Amino acid sequence: MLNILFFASLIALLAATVVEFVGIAFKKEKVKKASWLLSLISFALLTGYVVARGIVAGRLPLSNQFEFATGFAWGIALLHIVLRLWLKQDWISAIALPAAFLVLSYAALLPREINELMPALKSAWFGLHIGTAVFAYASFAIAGGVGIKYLAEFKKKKDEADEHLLQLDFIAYRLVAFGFLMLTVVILSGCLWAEQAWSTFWSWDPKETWALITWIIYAIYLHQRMRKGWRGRKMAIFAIVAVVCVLFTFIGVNQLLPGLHSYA
Amino acid sequence: MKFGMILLALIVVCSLFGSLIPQGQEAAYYAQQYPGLSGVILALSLDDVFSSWYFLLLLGLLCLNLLFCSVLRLKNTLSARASCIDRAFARECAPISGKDADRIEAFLKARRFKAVERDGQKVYYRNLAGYFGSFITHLGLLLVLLFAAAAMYLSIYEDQVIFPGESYTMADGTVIAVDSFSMGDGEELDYRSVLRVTDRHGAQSGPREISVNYPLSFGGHKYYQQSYGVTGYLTVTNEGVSSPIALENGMFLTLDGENGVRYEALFPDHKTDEDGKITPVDGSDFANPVYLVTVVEDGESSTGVVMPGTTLAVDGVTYTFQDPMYFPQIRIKTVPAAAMALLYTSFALLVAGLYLCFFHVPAFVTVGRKGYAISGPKADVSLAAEINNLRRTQC
Repeated sequence: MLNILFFASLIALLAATVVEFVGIAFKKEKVKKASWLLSLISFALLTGYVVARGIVAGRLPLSNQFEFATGFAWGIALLHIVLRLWLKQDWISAIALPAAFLVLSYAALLPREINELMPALKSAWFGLHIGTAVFAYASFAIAGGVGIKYLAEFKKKKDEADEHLLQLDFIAYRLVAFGFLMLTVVILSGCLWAEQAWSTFWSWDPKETWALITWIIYAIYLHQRMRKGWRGRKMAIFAIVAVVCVLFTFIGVNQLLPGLHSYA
Repeated sequence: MKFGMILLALIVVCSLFGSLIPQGQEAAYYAQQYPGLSGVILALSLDDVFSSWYFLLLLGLLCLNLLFCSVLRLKNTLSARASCIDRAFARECAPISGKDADRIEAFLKARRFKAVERDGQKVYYRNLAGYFGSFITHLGLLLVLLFAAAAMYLSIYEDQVIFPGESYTMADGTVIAVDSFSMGDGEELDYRSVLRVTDRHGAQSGPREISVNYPLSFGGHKYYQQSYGVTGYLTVTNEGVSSPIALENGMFLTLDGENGVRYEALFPDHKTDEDGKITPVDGSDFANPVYLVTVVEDGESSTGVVMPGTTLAVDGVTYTFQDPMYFPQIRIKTVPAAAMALLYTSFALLVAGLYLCFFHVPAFVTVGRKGYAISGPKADVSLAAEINNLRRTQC
């Protein structure tokens, strides 16, 4: 049953993505509406899967790479819906849907068995630390996608003062700001948790170090925007490059740099 | 500002090296893993980046930078905050119709903007606390670094092995007694100790279980279930009095200094051949443990293996070997409570500062006879778009 829900949400997400691009290619509003409907269905299925897995596991389903990747995809899907409703514009779907599909496809490649939560993860900090990481990563991923969209639009319009480009630039900035706040909470709650579990706030574990590197990179992004007035293409490229760092923190560190967070 | 960005970039570079090169290994490890580069790694302290003088210097300079940023920014922030309404009134306005003005005002009221009126012109404003967001963020980050350093350098750690049923007295008179130690039988090992702590004033904690994530805070110290070990264990009986003893490798148990039993080692497992000869072997757990002991009596010694439950009698004293005993290692951490409280406060300050900075952004909309103007310390494209949409809808 769980597998059916998981793969149904993956297929619905793929269908929503394909239909979205068909709608864009043929400029058919009805097709785009169908994509929106499919994306809502895929989100409902994925939410159902996450909730059901949580009930079966008897805990928050965010304890290993598969569960976090699924949560990451769910976070992107949720932000997609929030942004569509907030912006009342459909271009965000062309960014968020493929991103959510790619992350969920990565999750599908990982082992899906449900394991008991290891003692080190049985903590009141677990939900806050990992839950905020889901939203931080999802925000950064969509911000990177908006950066790609910006560059593609700029190629056509060649005018950074264009209203739509200004809006894209602003939305990417808001997403980075939200992700940065969430990542700050991730790091600080992780410090508090580490002190409870291991007696020290910070151990320079590879995951901690890369979370800090990511935090500094986005801090530089926000500084350059707010104090130096960087806008437009520079920021779009910055947001795209920074996502590579986020993905390395998420996948690369776990695969290549074992440490205290190796269970993740 | 520029200097701060350079410092951050350098910290990233150092952190990259620190995460990619395994830290704190022996010199021989680097010579083997990075042939030809180990000299450079050791010379530049890349084997211990995060404790190196240059990394600590970068953190120190970052603190100074944050301090100057905060102080300088406070003056500008206070000045900007004090004159923000005046500046909004002085804004050049884009002309609009009376209906548009009414529509914009209704929108702003619905969004809970506050209003101030002068000479028939109104300034709608919100989120003035946001002016302090950047200052609070920088101050919060500075305090996080300072108090984290204080908490780190003022913390005193003491790792202590305490056998179940025994106690340990700290230098300040605190007594830590371990009632029991247990291990879960799941795939992931779960260690739990039941402690009773009596502080130097005689106050008692009562029996409390500690495990990973659940340390005990009592009497100014924090007690962590740090790790565990396993050791040999026997009961010595002499003249009807029995005493349990946890064994240490090489320990010689004797009354007269000559006759007795020397504990050589404990093996987790053993093999028995066809002739009944027992050979100790290593193993992952202590499923079939066996002791290696030397009996010394009347000037002669013989070494052999004994199973738990075996009793040896030497010179009128009996030694009964028990099942191996698991014991906890307790980490005792002592840190000034004030440093911890200040660190937690600085965490909250940093998060509050970031929230004010990015999600409580001051915005001003001037509406009057001349028209309207949107202003604020940070451009709010979203607000501008919403107001423009209102006007378009009206048209």
